[in-house]
Amino acid sequence: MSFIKLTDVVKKYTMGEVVITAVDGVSFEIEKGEFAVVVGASGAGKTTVLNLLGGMDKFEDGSITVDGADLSMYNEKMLTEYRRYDIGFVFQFYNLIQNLTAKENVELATQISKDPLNVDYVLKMVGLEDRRDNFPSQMSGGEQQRVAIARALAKNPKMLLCDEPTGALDYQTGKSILKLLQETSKSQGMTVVVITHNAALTQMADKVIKMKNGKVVDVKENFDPMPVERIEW
Amino acid sequence: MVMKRKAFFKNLFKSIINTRGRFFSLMAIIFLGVSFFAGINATEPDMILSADKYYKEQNLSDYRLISPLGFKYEDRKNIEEVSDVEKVQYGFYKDLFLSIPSGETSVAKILSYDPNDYKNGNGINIPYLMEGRMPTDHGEIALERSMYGFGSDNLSLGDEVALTLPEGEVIGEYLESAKYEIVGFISTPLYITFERGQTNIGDGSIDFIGYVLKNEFQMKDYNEAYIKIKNSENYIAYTPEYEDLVERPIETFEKLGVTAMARETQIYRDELEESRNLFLEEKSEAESKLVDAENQLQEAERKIIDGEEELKRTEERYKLEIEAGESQLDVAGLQLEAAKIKYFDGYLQWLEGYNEYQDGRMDLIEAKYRLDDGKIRIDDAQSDLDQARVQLEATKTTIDALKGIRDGLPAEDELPTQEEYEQMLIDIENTSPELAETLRPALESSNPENINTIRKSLDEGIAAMEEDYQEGVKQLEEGEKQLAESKIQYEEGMRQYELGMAELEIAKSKIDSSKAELVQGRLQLEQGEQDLAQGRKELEEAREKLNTSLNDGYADLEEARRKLEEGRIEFEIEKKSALDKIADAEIKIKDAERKLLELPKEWFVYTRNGNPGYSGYGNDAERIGAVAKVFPLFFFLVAALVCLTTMTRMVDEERVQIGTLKALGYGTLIITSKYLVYSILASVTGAAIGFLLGFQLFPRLIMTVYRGMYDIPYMLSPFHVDYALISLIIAVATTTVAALGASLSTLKSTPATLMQPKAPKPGKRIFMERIGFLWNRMNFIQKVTARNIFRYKRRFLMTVIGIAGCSALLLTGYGIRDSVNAISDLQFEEVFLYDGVVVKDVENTEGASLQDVLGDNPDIEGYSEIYLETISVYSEKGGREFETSLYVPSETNEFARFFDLHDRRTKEKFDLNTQGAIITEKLAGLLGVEPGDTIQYRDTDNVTYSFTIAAIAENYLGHNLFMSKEYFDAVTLKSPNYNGGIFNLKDSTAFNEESFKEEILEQEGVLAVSLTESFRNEFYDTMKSLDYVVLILILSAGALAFVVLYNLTNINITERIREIATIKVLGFRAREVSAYVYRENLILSFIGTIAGLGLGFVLHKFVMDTMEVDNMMFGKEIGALSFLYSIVLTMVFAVLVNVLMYYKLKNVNMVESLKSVE
Repeated sequence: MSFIKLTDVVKKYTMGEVVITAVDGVSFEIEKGEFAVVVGASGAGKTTVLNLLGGMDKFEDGSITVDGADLSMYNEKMLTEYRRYDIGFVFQFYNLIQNLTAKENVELATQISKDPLNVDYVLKMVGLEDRRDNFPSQMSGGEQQRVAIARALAKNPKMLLCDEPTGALDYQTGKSILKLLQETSKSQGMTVVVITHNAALTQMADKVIKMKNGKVVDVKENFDPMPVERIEW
Repeated sequence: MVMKRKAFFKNLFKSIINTRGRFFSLMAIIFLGVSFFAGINATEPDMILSADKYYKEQNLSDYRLISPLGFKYEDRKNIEEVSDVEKVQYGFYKDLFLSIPSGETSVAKILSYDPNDYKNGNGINIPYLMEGRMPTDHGEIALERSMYGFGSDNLSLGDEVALTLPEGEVIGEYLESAKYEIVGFISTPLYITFERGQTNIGDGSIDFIGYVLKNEFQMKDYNEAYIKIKNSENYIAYTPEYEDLVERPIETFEKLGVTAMARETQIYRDELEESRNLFLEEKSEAESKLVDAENQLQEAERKIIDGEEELKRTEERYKLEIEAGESQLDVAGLQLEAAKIKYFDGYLQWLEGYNEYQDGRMDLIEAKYRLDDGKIRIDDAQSDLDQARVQLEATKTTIDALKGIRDGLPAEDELPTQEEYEQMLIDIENTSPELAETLRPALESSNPENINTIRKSLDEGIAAMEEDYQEGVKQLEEGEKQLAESKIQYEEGMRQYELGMAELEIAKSKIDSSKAELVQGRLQLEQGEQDLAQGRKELEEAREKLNTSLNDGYADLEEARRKLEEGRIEFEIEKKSALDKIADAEIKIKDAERKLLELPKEWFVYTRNGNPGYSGYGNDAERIGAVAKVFPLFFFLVAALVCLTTMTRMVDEERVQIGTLKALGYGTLIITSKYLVYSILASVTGAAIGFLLGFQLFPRLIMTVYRGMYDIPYMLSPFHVDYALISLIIAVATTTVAALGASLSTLKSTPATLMQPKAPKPGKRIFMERIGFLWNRMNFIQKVTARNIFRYKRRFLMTVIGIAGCSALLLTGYGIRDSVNAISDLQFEEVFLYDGVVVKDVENTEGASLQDVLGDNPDIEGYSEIYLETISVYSEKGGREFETSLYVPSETNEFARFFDLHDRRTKEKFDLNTQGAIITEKLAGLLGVEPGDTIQYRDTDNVTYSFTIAAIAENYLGHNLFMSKEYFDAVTLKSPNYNGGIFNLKDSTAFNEESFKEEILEQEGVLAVSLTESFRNEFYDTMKSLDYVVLILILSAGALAFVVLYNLTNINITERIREIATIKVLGFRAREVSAYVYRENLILSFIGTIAGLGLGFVLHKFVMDTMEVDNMMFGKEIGALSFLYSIVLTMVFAVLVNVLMYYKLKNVNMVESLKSVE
């Protein structure tokens, strides 16, 4: 059985009298250690899928199993625990705590983990050992995103979910972040799911899931992913 | 344009509805601030208006004139002619003792009531009827219910009260009757407080006011005049305008009073002079009469002494004569005694002679007997001798016969025949039977031998007989010789006897002659004795006669003396009564002189300020006004801060929208107006509700509290346009300025910047991180919290100020309660140690002694005699007078058992000494005096004294002045006339207050008894209304805390929603998320609380200082428990808000919050 398996997942939002079906029967699988990219235009429902996968939202129908556990059976509390121990999130806007230094932002995550990684080690891994005592406002966007990745990694999660991690970054910085993610996946055997609207990134993925209007239109496995450096967009 | 407007309003209402929490909390804080501000500010005018309504409804007089000598026709005319006077109403008053059925006696001021004055709602000082009706007939009284005890609680309509006067005054001179039935209970605007002024009877303070019909009064002239000033009804009491109007004629009245009193006093003085002269005349007359009487008495006494002396002399003389007679008799007696002795001597001699004679005679008789005896013996001897001769002759014959027989015997060898033998024996036997006898046996047998034996025996017998014969002859011869001798002796004895007989005969005759002499002497003696007895009897008779007459003399003398004594006693009594009469007259004249001196030089001219409690009420209202100036401002400050934060936040939140609108080309005005309208809507609604409620709530609440002290039946709380406007303007201004400021500053930026999310406030290191040892010790979460707290300084300030306000209010509320409770707790536990006081009528000379009243009561543990008086203390430096209780204990040492006089701070104990008086703290504060200062007091007789303050003692209730009796003496030059007893009760659970009081009041001369405990309870009940104040403060504080915390937490959450969403995504559990936010809140709340305690302390002091009334000192300290309550309650409010916010936190939608900015 796959590490992550979505079967006919449906998610609807009610906005007043309008019901929007954001995810409409999505099914796909991701294996352990894979670097998966979910790609699609704005409003394709990819973020919703990621949110559901990350236990941030509930869905109406279908099932999501992660490492053998069925998320549809989870209540609010169990979802919190799931987020706490199994998931590492990376956001487009980093979402660092402004009032905490880089190191403290990472510590914020390790505080609540069962088996966290060494904070300094993680910071070194993302190449920020020299900026550890800087506040977010004192760092560039790329550095901030590295802190966010370090924060996600330090929890020692089962998988890393990244929502447009390069969306707010310039080209080069974006590349370096993606490189970091890809290397992490390779070296740590970490399952990484990246959401992007940038189709170019599909080349670096082990698996590419294409979405459109809340549906999966294509799932493609890439047996020879390209290193990020060589991808141009 | 219309469309634009429509969109605008649509947008506005949508944002109101969407942010209804914010809108309502904004409204709420404005509401709170305004209701407090408007409500408390309205209290002062409402109090004044309520009182004014009462005064106007009852037509309270503007002036009250009192003339101690009554208003004469002339005076009345003068008063009525004063131009400002609209109306004058005259009446009587008299201060008396009033006893109620339960036995208590208190002092009452009885006023006159004339129904005619009050027809058709006319009249001045209309009594406010609470129950029953006004008196319409004789013997009826309408009584004002005393607010403080005196047993009035138990009085009901129909009860009878008795009026009495001190000794020396007759009730009939003042009132028609002494017993009155209660027909109604009233209040009067003249007396709105429990203080009813001073009087000069009882303990000096009036307890009751009562109305009886005017024609009950027997006095000649009215002594009271109520005056209504023209136009005074158009002004509100206590206002300067009213005061100015009323003050105008005061000098005129005073002048009239001086003139009238001078006139009346002169009449008095003339009368006094006249009676003084009369008295002096009568006095000298009485004195000379007394001297005469005394002289007479002395004359009588002298006579008695003379008579006594003469009697004594007579007695002496007669006694001497009797003594002479007595000594003569004694001499005669002695002589008689000597003769008697002589006679007895003679008699003894005679008796001796006679005895000798008798002895002699006896001797002679005895000698005769012996002689006669000798004669007989001689004769006997003669016959014996003759007989012996005969015998001897017989013997001679026998011998011869026997010799013949022997010779007739045969020879030896020849044997006699039997006949012969028998013959022979017969022969022997015939001659000597004895021999025969001896021989008989031998002769039995006829033995020849026997002849020899007989022979032999015969021979032997003859020999013996011959010997006897020879002997007999010899003896006979001897006897004959002796006889002859005896015969001679007898002859000699006979001769001597004859001689003795002759001598005896001579002696006998001698004795007989002396016997005759003795008999003669005896007769003479008896005669002498008889004579002596006769003499003695006569003497005794003479003595008796003397004694009788002497006794008679003495008795007469005694009688005279007794009569003299009677006369003297009578004289003494008469003298005393005469002197008493003189003294009485003298005292009366002195009294009259003193009264004349004491008579005021003028009328008592009182404006309303002279009414007890009138100005106090005004002052109290003013104090509330002072509190109103500060207290609610504080609320307003918090409200303004909250508004500012809220509006700023709102503008911040809608920054993108503002940017968009600006980009779309909307003008500054229209964009800004949204926030202005929003804030105006919130503040106007909040303010309107605030003052509408505040105008009702706070004035009514505070007036309810003051009802405990002031008897004002009305409670007005009208709408005050001024305060409504002021508070509305402040409220609207605060919020709109905040809204305007925030929106204008935001609008300065370009639309592009605005459409960017506002850069989050950068994080930075805080000061605490430099304190390594502290920072390193904190765990991660604590560090985060610390940094967050200092990151948002404005929020920090808001929270601290808001929470500080809350805890300050709480502490003030609890502090007020502590301070008020301290009055009763400290007053009754640390200052008043005594359990009760008994007041006696000192003028009642038959009254029971204090020992009877208190000493013998089994419930009483100890008591002490005391002098009590209500006096007015003032300072010559000026200022007001204060009604004060003066205590002078008879036993200075015992006093500490009943009063603990000590310094409030140092707890140093004070003893009453001879150097000065001890006054209570509040009084000292009001007069502004210190130990060593000299101040004055005026007693109930209007006499003033100066005294020095020795010490200032802790005291909360009323004003007290304590003096040792020595110092009282020194100050007043009189000794205290102890009129009361102060006592302690035994600790007993079985103590029954009712029966105890009854027992004490039963005693003669006891006016009243009051127990500290019941006084304390009454006071406690009065002060209970203050609990509402505390409650309202707690509620206000709670509301404040709630609104502030709700607002701030709300802002906190919205501002940090991304942060919260992030940590939620990170997997923080619900509890951890709230802890992450609340930790800061609670720490800020705690800091706020602590700051609030400091603030509350200051606020409490301010409130207490301003609210303090004249006759009470509030406690200065706040109890530790109050601090604790304030902290705990504040934290409870904080936690409560946080709990409410918990759901908001829980519902933070991670997905929504993390979405990239639209």
